[in-house]
Amino acid sequence: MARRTALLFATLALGAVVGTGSSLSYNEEVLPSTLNPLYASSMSDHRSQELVFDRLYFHDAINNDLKSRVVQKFEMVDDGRGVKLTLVPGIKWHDGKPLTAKDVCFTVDAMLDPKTASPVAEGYRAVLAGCEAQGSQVAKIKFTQVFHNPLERLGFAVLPEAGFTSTAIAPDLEFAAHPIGTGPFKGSKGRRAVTFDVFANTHHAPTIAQLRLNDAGDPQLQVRSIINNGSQGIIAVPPLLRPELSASDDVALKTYDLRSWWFVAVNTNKGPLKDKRVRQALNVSLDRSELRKLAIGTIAGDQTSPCEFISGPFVQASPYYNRAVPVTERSDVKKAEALLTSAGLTKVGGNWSSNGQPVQLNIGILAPLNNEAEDLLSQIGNQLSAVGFGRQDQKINEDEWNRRVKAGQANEYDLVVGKWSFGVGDDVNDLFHTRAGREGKLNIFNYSNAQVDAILKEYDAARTDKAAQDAYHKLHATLAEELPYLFLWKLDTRSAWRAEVRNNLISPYYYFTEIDGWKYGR
Amino acid sequence: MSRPSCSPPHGSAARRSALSHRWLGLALGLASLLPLVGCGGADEVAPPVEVVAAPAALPADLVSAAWPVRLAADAPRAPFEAHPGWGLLFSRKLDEALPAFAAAPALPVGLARVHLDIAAVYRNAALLGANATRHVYGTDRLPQDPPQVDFLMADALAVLGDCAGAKAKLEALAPQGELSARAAALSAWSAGPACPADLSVFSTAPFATLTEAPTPGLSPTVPVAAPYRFALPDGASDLEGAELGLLVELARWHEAAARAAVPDAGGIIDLHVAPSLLPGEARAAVGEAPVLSDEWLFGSFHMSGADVAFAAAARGDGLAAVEAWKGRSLYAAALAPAVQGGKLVPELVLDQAAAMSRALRDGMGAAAGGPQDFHRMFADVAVVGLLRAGALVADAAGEPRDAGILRVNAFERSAGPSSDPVFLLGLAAWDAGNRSPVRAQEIIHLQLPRFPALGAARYPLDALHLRLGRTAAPSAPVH
Repeated sequence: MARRTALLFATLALGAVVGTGSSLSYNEEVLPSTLNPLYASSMSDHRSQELVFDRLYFHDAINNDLKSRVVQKFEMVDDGRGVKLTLVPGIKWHDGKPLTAKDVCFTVDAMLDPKTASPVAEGYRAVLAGCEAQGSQVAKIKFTQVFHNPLERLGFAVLPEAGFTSTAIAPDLEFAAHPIGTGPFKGSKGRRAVTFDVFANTHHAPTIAQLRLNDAGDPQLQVRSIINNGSQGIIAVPPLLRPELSASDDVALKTYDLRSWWFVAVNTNKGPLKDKRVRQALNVSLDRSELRKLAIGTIAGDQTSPCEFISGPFVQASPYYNRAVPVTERSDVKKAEALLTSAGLTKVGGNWSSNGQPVQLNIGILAPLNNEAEDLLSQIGNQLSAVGFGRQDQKINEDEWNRRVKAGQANEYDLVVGKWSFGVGDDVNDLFHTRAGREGKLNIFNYSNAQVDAILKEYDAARTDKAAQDAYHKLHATLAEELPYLFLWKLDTRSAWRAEVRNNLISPYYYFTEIDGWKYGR
Repeated sequence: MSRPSCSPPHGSAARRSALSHRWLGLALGLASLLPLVGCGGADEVAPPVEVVAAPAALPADLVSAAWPVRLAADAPRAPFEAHPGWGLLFSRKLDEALPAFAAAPALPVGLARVHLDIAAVYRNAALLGANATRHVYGTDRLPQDPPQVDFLMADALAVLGDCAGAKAKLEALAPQGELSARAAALSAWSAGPACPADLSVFSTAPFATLTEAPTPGLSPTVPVAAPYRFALPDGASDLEGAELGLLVELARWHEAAARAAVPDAGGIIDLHVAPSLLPGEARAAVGEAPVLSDEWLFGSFHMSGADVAFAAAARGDGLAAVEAWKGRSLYAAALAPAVQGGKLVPELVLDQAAAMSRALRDGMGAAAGGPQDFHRMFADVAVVGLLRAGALVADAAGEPRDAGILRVNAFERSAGPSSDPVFLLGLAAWDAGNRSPVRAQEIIHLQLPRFPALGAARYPLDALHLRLGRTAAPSAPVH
């Protein structure tokens, strides 16, 4: 308690220091791992980078119009295989140098450079074929094929040529902490916070002088801090704390359109978990209804809950969700026991053993998720313990999650709890394809299944939307049987901002796209 | 510099309502589950804020005439707590409210209100489906789409009131089988005088699917119709679509049931229907403000009969309606100071909404002898109602983005009794019109259990999502 109080005062004091001019302080889920847009790996990264950089094209947060702040006009060329972009004159980088067509082409070239080991760039390699600067203001971008919506494909952030020594861009350069962009704010990443200072430019006119991003920390403290105006925003408010904020006239809860779903990834290459029946037993050992009640606060039958169970790798509202696959809502211990017994496990003294060894599950969770869904790690552990599994719980920090878990190198874990967030696309191939070359880049436990790989290829090769939908319906059904993941739920994200923060339109996914219009006033 | 504000613990300072009936008590009971808000005692210093102009005061007579104020005290509200239909309507459980109002003693006005809301839900769903279709098989059409999507386009354009567009699509089509009769009917209608104002084409053969006559208190049986299936060039699968006319037919059925419930209230019903009419549908002229009984108003997103009339007028007249109604309608009075430079300024509308909320809560407190927990819920309904009215004005004034800002803000405040399926479907339709399917899909998904026929709008919306998702800028899952 004393520690909490001390932390509270520290947080409030920080707010006092920051609160000069029109400065706003807000709490992120985690500190961004990088401010280099090529290496964005978390939603915090994407949101932060949106403050510092301009994407060539973006969608209006309100009417979804495709817009650009840096392109004055465009012209399709080469029978639709290229586009000539004329830049808005007078735009400056944060170091004062002018934005030119060479910067646009440098960005394209950097993404096309195979030595740029960026997952973001890799996606663009299927779209972009090259770029040619024609004078200082015109860039001609070439596409790999004719697209019916070419400008929609140009959603990348523009990088400064002068900020790099070559087009082979590494993730760990100084640029990642102190980037140079053309966005509304100049960002600087420290160890405990990131500051964004307004930068005067021809194409941005924000009225807020400074934003300070703080690591999330204790959610209770965040709530106290925003109510007392020690900070002005919280990006993701845990569901259990939302009623407290919605009762306040001084704080407004804001919807953040982000399709997110939660899972428990299962290490299918380890011990008894190699056996599908054991994974199925784990699946029916979880009482999701109870977990949701304890961690999210949802009462059974609440149709307005922000949290909805899923049985596969899509949210239920998605057309890719296979509605014929039922969700597993309640636990079924008898079924779990039958499955474990059929898999050759034995129960001794209330504990399951495999080949004479007690089954001990090493369970990890991406740390901030344990705040968003309060104490979810313990709740899952408790349920599995009650069925007869030994368990060890660990919180995984963001760095380790990005560096090891996503890279398929955290083999010491048997289960990890995480979530994935999506924009308008629902492509899950990287999560489940066998890791090989460019495939399976986010396959957490290097799950490999030839049948699944074939379905994913089917999706990739689909010529029609219906064929793609059919492939993913098949994938959903297969994964619900194979269970490389135990699928939990989708959970809506809500932000909270002080009422004095006005005009604060929140863009889907990128969040701060409309930051220029935000005001701080009463 | 002022000390930071500190909210009082919710529900502790406020007087508990002496509510006799359980439905409002239940709603309040849920509210009382909120954890108490602690108030830090630190001397933190808030950032200085830009002081903007204070919202204009609202006419006291209009505030005190608003139903939340008039029904704030227990006695006048008691009749509404005695009948379960009102609780269900207030909770926006329209499918459950219908049989509740039909049960003896039936309440005709309650029935009419529910039927009208359901009619608006279906009209908005038809609009949603038409908007999604217009994009996916229009602006985003691909060569591999089968030619029969022209029929889906014609259907959508008919719903949108584009007679010439619908006719042109049908002329390019050589339909066969079931489609042939429907295309012929739609073609004749689109070339005739009934288009676009009269959508009864969807309530007659070969489109009509409902067999029961409109009857207050009933929900018609909707036959499970097989979707349209058009062979795709890969030969392995079919493109699926649904007949949007079903949604129009349902809307018209429920509107007719509402009229049958209260046969002498045609003018009032015309006003209620006006904001959600489809783009080409005939609109009745708006006359004087109706004098409405509390049965027409309790729990409504309109504070008075004048607000009902103002909303109907705003749909067509925009800013002129604000000017014309500001002396009679609380909403128009609240919006009037937000009109600056010849347009409605969303930021000022939000200020006015906050001011109206305070004024209503003060008024309710005075009427009830002190603040009660449900006063906030009533005020929240009013705020959402005002923002929706503002969106109508901005749309009519040719400011669709500002209308969107107001819609999004109304959506942010849509929780509990403020969460209205009529508005949500309207928002979803607007999103679909903007080629933005994600939020619309969530809305449809959440409303489907109560309105299964909404599935008809889901086909084009899903098709839009699939198409946009597969052709979007590259992105990978993150977290």
